[in-house]
Amino acid sequence: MSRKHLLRKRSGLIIASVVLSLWFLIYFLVPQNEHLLSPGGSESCHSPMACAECHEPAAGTTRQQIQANIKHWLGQRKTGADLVTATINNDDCLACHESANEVHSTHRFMEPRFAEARAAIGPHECRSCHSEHSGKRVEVRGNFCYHCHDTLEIIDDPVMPSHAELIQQQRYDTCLQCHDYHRNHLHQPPQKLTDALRLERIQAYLDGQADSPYGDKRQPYQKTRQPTP
Amino acid sequence: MKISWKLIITLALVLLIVWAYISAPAPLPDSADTESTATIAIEDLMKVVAAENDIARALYTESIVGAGKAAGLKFSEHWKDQEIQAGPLPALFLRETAASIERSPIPLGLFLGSDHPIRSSNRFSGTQELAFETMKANQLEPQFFLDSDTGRHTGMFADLASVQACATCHNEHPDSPKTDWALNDVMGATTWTYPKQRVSTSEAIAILTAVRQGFSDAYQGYIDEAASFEPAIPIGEDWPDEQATIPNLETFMAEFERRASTSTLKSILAL
Repeated sequence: MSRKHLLRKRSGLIIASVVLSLWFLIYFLVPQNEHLLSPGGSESCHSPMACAECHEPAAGTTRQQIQANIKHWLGQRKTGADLVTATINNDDCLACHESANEVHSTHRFMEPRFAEARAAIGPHECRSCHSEHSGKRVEVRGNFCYHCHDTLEIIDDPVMPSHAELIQQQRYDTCLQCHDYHRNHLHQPPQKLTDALRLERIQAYLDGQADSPYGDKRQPYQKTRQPTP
Repeated sequence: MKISWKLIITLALVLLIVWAYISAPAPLPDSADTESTATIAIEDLMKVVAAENDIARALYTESIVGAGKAAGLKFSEHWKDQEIQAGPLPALFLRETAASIERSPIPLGLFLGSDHPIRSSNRFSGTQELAFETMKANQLEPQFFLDSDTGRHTGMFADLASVQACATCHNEHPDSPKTDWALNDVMGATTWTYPKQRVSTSEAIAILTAVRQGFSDAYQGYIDEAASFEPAIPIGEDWPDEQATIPNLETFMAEFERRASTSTLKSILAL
């Protein structure tokens, strides 16, 4: 094969790559297609939302952000800066999902005595369990309650078997069979474990493959973030 | 003349650096920098808000829960359940206050714990347990420390059975691990946390405002719940006495301010 032919072939490949890259760039920049950028978003309440409804612009211009991060890297300032979009935090989630019935508020876990639980499962941050864009509702597996409830004592315990027995047998996988972690569904815990929800059903829900086994949501949430026009 | 690409690239880089330097934007504020106006020690401010909290809780416990129960009103730990017509217990009033503060932009944390809590998940451990024991051994002197894990400055204040209703309810609760509480016993401690060691006057005012808003929101939560009671309970300017009535938000907050404002103002002037 001649050198001229090789050069022509290489130029063709470069042009084709540039055209293809530009097409992809334009295609994904169209707002209607931005959901294709996200590999997750399986939550029914999140799928119709625009990226910017959660991913808000970071403070400052991009140059200021780069400047701040370089200075932080060089040790000239104590903190860096978010680049392009602000880091998602609890406030973003609670803007819609704050519930008056919440029994595991993230802020309660900022108390010093929850240090071990914070290090192990991060219950003080929504994204520790709900990473989003993963196709799953909940990332952690069911056996996390023991980090806080391994010394649970209920003197007048009405359930069968008792909480004390379940804890002694380390059957922490049974917790979610009766208890809705955020208590944001109309679910009354049964008094017998035999009447409780099946583990497979709960796992399918946590994996984003089934609706809530705990029933309808308690409504309304206190606030609702307005959809992007 | 032969073009040297190395020279062109070097020149371009130099020009880029010069341009980046001379047109550098104003730096973003560093969130870790302490304002030069931050002159108030957070420990002193925590003493002020803790004193306000004591007054709000004593008012709620004595004049709303105690008097309300005597007049036939109910208060329950399950007060948010639809089928239960009850108001929040004093500990839950504090939790509602803490939740309101959390909703505000002020990064102040408020928690309630004990060495003999009704719910074992509220039992102190680690540094808090040590600080609580030190507090009890030192005439209930508030304890302050930096929580290395969260990086927050932390203050713990004794939580007393300020009215008989505190002791009585805890003694009668079926899950209470201690049933001989008496008036003025140390039942636990409130824990306050804040990320800065010193705050400015404007920050101090914002913190106090957020805490007072917390009391207001917590009480409004009770009013909202009570509005659905059947038969309807009058909500107005009257306090429960022999009649089952509930003071409205304005009445409750006015009484709180009457009790708290003088001491708070003195404390602020002393900061």
